[in-house]
Amino acid sequence: MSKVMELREALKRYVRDGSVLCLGGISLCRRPMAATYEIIRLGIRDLHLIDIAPGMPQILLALAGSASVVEGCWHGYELFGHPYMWRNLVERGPKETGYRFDDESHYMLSLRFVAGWLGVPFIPTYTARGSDLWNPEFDNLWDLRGKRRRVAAKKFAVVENPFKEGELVRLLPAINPDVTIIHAQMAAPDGTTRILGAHFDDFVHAAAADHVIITCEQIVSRDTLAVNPEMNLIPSIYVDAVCQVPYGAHPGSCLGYYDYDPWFLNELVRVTREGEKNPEVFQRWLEEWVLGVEDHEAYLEKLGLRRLLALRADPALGYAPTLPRRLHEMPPPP
Amino acid sequence: MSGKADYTALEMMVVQASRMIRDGEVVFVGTGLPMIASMLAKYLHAPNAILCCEAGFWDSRFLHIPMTVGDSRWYVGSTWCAGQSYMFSLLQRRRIDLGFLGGAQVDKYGNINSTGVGVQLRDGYYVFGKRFEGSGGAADIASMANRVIIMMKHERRRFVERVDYITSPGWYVWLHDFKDGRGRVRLVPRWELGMWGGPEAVISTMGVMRFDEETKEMYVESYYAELGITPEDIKRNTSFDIKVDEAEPAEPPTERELELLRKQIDPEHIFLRE
Repeated sequence: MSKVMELREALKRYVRDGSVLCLGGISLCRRPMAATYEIIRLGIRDLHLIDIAPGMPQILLALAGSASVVEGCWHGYELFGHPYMWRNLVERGPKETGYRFDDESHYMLSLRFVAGWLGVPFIPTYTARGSDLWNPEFDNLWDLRGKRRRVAAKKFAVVENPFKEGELVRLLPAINPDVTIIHAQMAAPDGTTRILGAHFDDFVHAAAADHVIITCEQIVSRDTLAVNPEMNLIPSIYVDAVCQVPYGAHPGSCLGYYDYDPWFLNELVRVTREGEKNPEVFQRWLEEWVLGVEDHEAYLEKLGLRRLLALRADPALGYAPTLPRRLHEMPPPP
Repeated sequence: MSGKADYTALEMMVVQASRMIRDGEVVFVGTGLPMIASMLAKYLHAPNAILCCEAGFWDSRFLHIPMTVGDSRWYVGSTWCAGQSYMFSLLQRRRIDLGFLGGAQVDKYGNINSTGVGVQLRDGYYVFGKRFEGSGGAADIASMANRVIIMMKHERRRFVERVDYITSPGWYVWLHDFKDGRGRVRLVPRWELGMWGGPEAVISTMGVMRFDEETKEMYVESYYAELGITPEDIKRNTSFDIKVDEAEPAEPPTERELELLRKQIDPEHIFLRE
């Protein structure tokens, strides 16, 4: 059975106001950016975002007003700059903004997804002992606990290890997102998904979710992916929709296909930096690159062929080896 | 800064960090200076060190320096690639020898804050006067790597008596008493929490600090004399009382180290620009 559909159709079918949404990839790499833009265009609101490695797409969803609850560990653009505007949102606090960010660590979130994948209710860990991440006073979802769907009744619990007297163990609640969206290099119409390079835990992101949307560079046949099946990360059973979205991780990178776009990322950081004083600057950017753009095809046309070619990966290396990367003195964009 | 050096403070930091890496160690590196330091060590005294990162790349032999977590450049020459849960589980199994951390604040016990300063409870929610990126994997590395090295810019507002928020635990932490309810804190050594590892050194833009065996408080081991730094400069730029009486001038970089850094490791000058 073919699960191939348009990205817009897939999002309308599975992502709703208030959904718990997980976006695969890590930091600026293989993030489902086309899907992120489309969610903003569709005007979906009140999203509860959670994944192991948050960052760029979650920041955009926050600034566009699409997200209101985030369980995350890190928001930024690495060397490109600080998470401007987002940090102001967090500084002003949930009461004023309606936006909540609750801090965890990479591994805490990883384990919660592993528990979600396994279908068990919680998971014990030794991590981050002594950190304020375990400070019971710091819980920005406290008033949603036991009230909002899929917000765990408690942030964590500390119990005595039943198998070792006197040892305290911290327990984390499992995560089962409503929807996980992953950008992959290849998928078959039945949903079988192949990811090249590090998988950034996208198997657990998918296996923990109720529904999975795969956006991919290329749809290939089932028979193609049946050669070397050990290279396939996600089996068809987890997947509900397959959408062919070339350059769907832009401005991030997608190994083997294209590199990150340093011009675009510099610009995104600039408009958010200036947006801290003058929000209009960011709004204009959002209008220009997201809201005012019909769909992903129009976005690619707007970027232009020269830009896309400049980012194209060397097939032997997986990235663009001649890409200018001295961010403070970039040549003009192609 | 003044001095007679033909190298920068950043290069000096990288060289100091590199010399602390032992051959054969498994090093958990993020992007930036630690990665460059690890590369330098591999070229020199630690050819068998294994570099890995949270995104899941193992023992990479990259040809161009990765700029982001998960950068495709990591892929080249890696013998395995996985994801975060795999890599962090190596930490929990005590298989990571060395981790590097940075942050906005560090205190005398080596606690690091990379979450935000001016933390307060407002309307029941915690908010920050100034918010930073957040832990990422820092809390995991700080709590579970066998050794931790901290790299920081040396400024008075960064070297503080007590961090506003403990993202990454050091030697003594202010622990919340889970049994007796909210808001009760006490200072506890990390080993009482069953933790292993701990911060071994702080490499700053001015010198190298270590932690006293007994008190676990930070002291100055060496200062970058050739860059014009004195022990008094470090004292002045540290807002807690820091011991400097055993401090010695730091061993400067060798020509070979500088050449490798500038020509081989970061020829694009992505990280080592001033």
